[in-house]
Amino acid sequence: MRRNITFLWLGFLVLLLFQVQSEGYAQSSATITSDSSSVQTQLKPQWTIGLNVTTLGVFFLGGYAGQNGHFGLNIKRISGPKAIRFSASVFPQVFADYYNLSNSIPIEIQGQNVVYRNQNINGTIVRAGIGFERGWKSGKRGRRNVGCDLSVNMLRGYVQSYEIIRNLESREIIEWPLTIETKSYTSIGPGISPFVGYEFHAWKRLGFNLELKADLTAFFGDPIGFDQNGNMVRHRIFYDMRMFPLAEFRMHYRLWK
Amino acid sequence: MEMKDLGKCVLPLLIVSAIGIAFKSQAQLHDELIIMEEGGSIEQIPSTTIDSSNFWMLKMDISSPIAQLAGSQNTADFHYGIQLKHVRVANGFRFTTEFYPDIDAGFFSHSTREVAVVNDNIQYIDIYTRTNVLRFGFGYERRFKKDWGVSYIGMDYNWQRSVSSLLTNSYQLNVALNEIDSIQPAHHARTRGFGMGLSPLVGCEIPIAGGFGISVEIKADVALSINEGYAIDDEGIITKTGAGYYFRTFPLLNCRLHYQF
Repeated sequence: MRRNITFLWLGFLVLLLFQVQSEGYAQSSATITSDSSSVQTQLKPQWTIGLNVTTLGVFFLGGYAGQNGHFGLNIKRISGPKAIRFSASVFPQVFADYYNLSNSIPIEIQGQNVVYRNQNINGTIVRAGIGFERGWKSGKRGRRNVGCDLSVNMLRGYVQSYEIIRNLESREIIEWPLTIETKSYTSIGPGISPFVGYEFHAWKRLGFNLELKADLTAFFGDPIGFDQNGNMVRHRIFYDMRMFPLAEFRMHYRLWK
Repeated sequence: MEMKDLGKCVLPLLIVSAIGIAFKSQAQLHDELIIMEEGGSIEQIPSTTIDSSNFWMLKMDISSPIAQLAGSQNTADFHYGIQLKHVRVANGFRFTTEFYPDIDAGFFSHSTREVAVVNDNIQYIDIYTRTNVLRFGFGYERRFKKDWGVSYIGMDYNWQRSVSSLLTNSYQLNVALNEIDSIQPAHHARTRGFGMGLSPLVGCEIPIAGGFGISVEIKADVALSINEGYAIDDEGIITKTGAGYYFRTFPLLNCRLHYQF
């Protein structure tokens, strides 16, 4: 698996170098062979900055992003039909649960009191990526694009185990937390995300993006789990595949045109 | 009415009609001239033109699939919807129907209540609720043509009917053995609700190709409903209580795929 991912990375870097090299070649050729201003204008790069509003969009559409909730930034350098993009995003709560009670286990009964062992899992993913895309003008204000992003991902968090005592007559928690045990963990991994997208320039500088993508990441680390009695155990190093949201909405701003 | 009064009425009518006929003839002549300039034949091409500002649109709601693709973790507010719109020049008349199969999924659809401790056993009840809502709406919109499509502003009036199915199960958990047994037969009940709401909205329609396009709508979709109430005792028995008033909002953003025909 690691070997395959290394090959994917190498392949992507070769493509990226080819892209940069061909772009540089195109620019120098244009300068040498033509002095006309139209060619210069066509190759003049354009920068856009994009704000990831996927989580907000999900909320307005009536959904709940939960552990897929994230925010991010995207900077794109468009030069003719090609573009290089840099992105960064944060997923603050990748193990968010509605009530976080699904890991509550009753372990002992003391009269009308029940002792529960609760498990609280917390994690944050930070991602940074680079990619390239190719675009085509679509209609008066649109641009279709296709491309691929590669990313470096870091998952960092902690696992907490604690006990509480609840009285079933009064239905109140009478003591908490009794003992707390906390262990932190870190996982890192590469990600690949081929995408197709559409840009709509609603105004002169401001516009919207919609992207559909297959966003896959493999994490390597030493995660923590629980045994049958709810005790914390640290697993051996292994990899874990994770799929990120398949659609992304962004608002973009063209720095100059 | 005297003849001179009749004349006062008829004369302006005649003048207006004459002006109208003159304008129509001029417009027809203009169309025919364009056709002739483009090398067409008046005999082959009818002189009347189709009014492209009078048409129907069929829209399919794709908000929920998009929310799921964008990472939504629950299916509350997941809905299917269809809309028929009749456009007459700058006016649009909208007829919408939506179905929410499980409107509170994830948040309120399942809860557990521990009710007693007997020896090493914890007795508890599981409560499941599933509410589906059917909505019908009609509304009006004012449309503004833009170079990229159409923007509109309007309002919908909605009527809704809801049915909630309740199910309770009683269990006991043996903590020492970690075993669960069912201790009571399941109890079922069904409650109904009725409501209505208003939804002021702004939106846009962007054509893609061949009559197909995308519509995005931002709205303040609020509704007030009257629902039958219920109470659940510690044995899981459901009893209906008096009606209560509930206020809720529906999704504030709508994406639709449309076809203009």
